[in-house]
Amino acid sequence: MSAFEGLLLGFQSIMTPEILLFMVVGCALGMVTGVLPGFGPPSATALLLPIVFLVSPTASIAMIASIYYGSMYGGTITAILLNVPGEAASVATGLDGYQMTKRGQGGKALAISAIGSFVGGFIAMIGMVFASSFAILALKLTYIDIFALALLALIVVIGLTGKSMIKGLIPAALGLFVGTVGLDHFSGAQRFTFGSPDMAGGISYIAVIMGIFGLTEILTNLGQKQLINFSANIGPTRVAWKDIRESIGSMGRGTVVGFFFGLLPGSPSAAAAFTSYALEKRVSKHPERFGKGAIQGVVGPDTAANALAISNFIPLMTLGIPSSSTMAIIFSALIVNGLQPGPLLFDQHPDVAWGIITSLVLANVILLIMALPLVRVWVSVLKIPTELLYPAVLGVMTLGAYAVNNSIFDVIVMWVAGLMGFILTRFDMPLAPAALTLVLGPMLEGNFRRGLSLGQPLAETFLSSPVAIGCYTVMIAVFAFKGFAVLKKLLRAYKGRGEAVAVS
Amino acid sequence: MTAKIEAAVPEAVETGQASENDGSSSRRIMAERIAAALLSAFAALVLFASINLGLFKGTQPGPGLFPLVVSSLLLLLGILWFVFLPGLHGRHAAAPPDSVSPAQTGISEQPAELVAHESAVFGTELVEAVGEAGGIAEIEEAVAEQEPGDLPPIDREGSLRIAFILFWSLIPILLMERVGFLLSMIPYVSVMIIVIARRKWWKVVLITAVAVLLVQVGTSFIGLALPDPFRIISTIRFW
Repeated sequence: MSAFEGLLLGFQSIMTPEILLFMVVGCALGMVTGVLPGFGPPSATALLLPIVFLVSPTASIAMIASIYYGSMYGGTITAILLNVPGEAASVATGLDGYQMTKRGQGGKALAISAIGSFVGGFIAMIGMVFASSFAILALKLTYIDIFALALLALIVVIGLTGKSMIKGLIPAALGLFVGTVGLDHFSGAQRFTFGSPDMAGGISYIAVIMGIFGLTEILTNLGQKQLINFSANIGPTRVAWKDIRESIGSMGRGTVVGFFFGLLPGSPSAAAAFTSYALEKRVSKHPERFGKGAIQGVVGPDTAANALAISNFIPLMTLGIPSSSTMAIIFSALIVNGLQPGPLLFDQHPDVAWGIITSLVLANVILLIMALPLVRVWVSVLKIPTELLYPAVLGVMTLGAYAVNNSIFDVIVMWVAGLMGFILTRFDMPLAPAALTLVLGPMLEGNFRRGLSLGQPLAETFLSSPVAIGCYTVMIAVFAFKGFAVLKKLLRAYKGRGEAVAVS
Repeated sequence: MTAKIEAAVPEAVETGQASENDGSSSRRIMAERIAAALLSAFAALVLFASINLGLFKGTQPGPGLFPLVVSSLLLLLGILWFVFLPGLHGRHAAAPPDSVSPAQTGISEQPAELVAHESAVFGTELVEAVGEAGGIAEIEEAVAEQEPGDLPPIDREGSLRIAFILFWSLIPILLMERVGFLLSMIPYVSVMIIVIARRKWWKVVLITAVAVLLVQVGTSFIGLALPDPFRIISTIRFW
């Protein structure tokens, strides 16, 4: 099937009143959740995950894509109007966006950011369609290749570990452990189930993800006081042609930066947004305007973030490997719907695979239509007292966790995961590695054991394919790259100390 | 206004916070030591359980092999955390007090203007660092370096709220399958709102009851059967 035929099939499968309605609802829910302080795309997607199980697989994935987009724009709204970013990537948008709001141009900043997001998403989409046509080649991958790819994806974890590698790897190892609980499909043995029939089926990804992202955020927020009051003047949401002309270059550059960063392990959205901002400042004829309300400072980072959101899907759709926590959530949503993400999806369920791709385009359009006229509605969510909001959300989450398998055990899992997530965050441990390893662990173990069961020497088995050798080469290069960066930093620190001693 | 805020940040940092930080820092190190010890003990238990599961069955890998690898990694990390804890904590404590994480900006006890100011400081420093950085690894490093470690401390009231929520969430866990979704969720949600938001109880109970009822009727219409041992919903639907 050609890419064009695939796109047509995708549009056919999602262009139903039911799916369009779910997408509109998804966008609205995503924006409302994204506006809430502290709720970035992973938390928003995790919170709203149970809702999507009430609909068909294509509708559910289309709705998740809309929630994802909506929550990203929700973060942009608060970054621009309040300088309270929903996620790290929005900090860059808020630098000039908030300055524009202070000058009464918040509406314009929101409008140009929505247009930039649309352009970035749309161009990245073309790249994704092109990449998807290669997915069929991935069908030729053996389990040795998949093991190597999954191991490479684990390098992602190292990319997500933040400041301390030890503290980043602890949640990653815990995620791997949780993935081993349940019935071992190779030997039939029960692992760490304590004889419980509920645990024999394994720990539900969905319940764990809802717990570590959704509940952790709620518990963290309940521990604080919310004193954010919005009273700024948004101003008109119209954009002049002059502004669009001034922003076209930024949109193009932002798209390239975002698309490229989205393909990297860990999909570092903050790095993409700040690189785009720094790039805009560097190429600008008026760098002195940056930080004081430069429109390019808003468009560049936001376009990059949205292009990244699309190219993020490429490793998931072509290789079946999630490269970020939000993709891990989407991965688990596909699994729950009985769909295996990756090249097989294009072969066995082309309507769903292409439906997902086209739903990303449509979600972009819906967001553009909905975002601006209703901006005051989204912002008004901030006026709802969180003390009222959170109990209601907890009620919905309890219902959602129960609905996954009609079992109270999943509610318990969600709470245990939430409590664990809360404790880990109090110790400065990132949660994204846990979500990724939870999903990647079983894939890694299954293929590792298949390789070992051949009874050949390890090197002979695991280095028998060029793809695997390529993956290991990339891993070595990544480690060398990281090691080089650390060495450079140490040298810089040593040099700095030497200079300080000389001065004193 | 902005100038006032700018002046307030260092002032607030200088007065009182340094001595408070010392106390909370040693408490924090103690808590982390306990957590690292517990994690190591847990990992050791899993390690022994993995060995008991069987590492190999003949020439084939057994069910305990992969958990053994994972638990060994966890044990190693637990020990490293315990050993290198003062170093890890020292780096976090050294983070500039006026740099606020994106997550923190939304949940701190500060007014919006101050939050905005701090977010701008954080962002500007980051842009400078990214601008100076050469490669992708350095850019990622610059972003990671600027992300501060510690979340704002939870006060007594916050701790009580969290403890109450954790305790009260046993209600649906214990009661949902016994008395049904409706009769467990009404007290669960309404008591949470009454305790946390301190609203008039009769209004809260009434609104919650109607909302929960609507949710259950709605879910039953789309084919999602929630526990209803007393057949309340089927009776309502019949009428």
